[in-house]
Amino acid sequence: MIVARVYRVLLRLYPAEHRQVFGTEMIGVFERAAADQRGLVTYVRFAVSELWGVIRGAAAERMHTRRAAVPAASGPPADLAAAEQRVTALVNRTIHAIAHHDFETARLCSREEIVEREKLRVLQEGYRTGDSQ
Amino acid sequence: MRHVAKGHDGPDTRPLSEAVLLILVSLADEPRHGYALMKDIEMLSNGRVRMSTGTLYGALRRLLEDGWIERFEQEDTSRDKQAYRLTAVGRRLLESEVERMKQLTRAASARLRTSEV
Repeated sequence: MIVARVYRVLLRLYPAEHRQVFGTEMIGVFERAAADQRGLVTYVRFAVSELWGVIRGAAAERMHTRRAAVPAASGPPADLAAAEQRVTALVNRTIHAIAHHDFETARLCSREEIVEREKLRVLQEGYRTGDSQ
Repeated sequence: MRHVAKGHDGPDTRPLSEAVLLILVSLADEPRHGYALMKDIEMLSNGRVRMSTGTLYGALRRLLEDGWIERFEQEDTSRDKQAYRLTAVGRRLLESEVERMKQLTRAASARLRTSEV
């Protein structure tokens, strides 16, 4: 089917990392959803929405990859930056939850923060070891 | 966080985007794989939202990255191995969002009743 072929070609617009994780799954979901469409008009509408969705999705993912890569050139590596971001986000969530007297969320976020902080520590440790070698 | 709309009171008080909210609601009762998510979201929104795979997997990637959902391999299915489920943080945040929406609808209903009188 032409649309399925075009879909697979357009998927190549995604960053390689995204394709590796989600590519096969996306094709599977697309094919099953395509099989559900009844009638020409419905199918055309579906095809346009899917193909346009892939183009937009790929553009968004490329922007995201580029943004994530910027700190890698001038600051910490991307995985380290992402781990730092997760810790910061959880700290902000905890503060916000406390401010709104939502102590259960605060406790949960705080617990998650400890886990994320440990992951960050391991990452930092790894980079330090790598540097010293 | 990226999957929230712009607001004035800091990143953590802003409402969730509709796509994210629908995904979280869909995963609230049980884990789902991509196709099941797509169908459930269509049903949840009374057919109003048909999420394309591009939109769905973009949102899933962001939610995974933020630790609101997690991905795991389902053992009992041959076709759709990868499934998604809410994390404890994701569930709690969804509950907070539902509470926020309830408060807003209550306030809206009260004001509408006042304006009818």
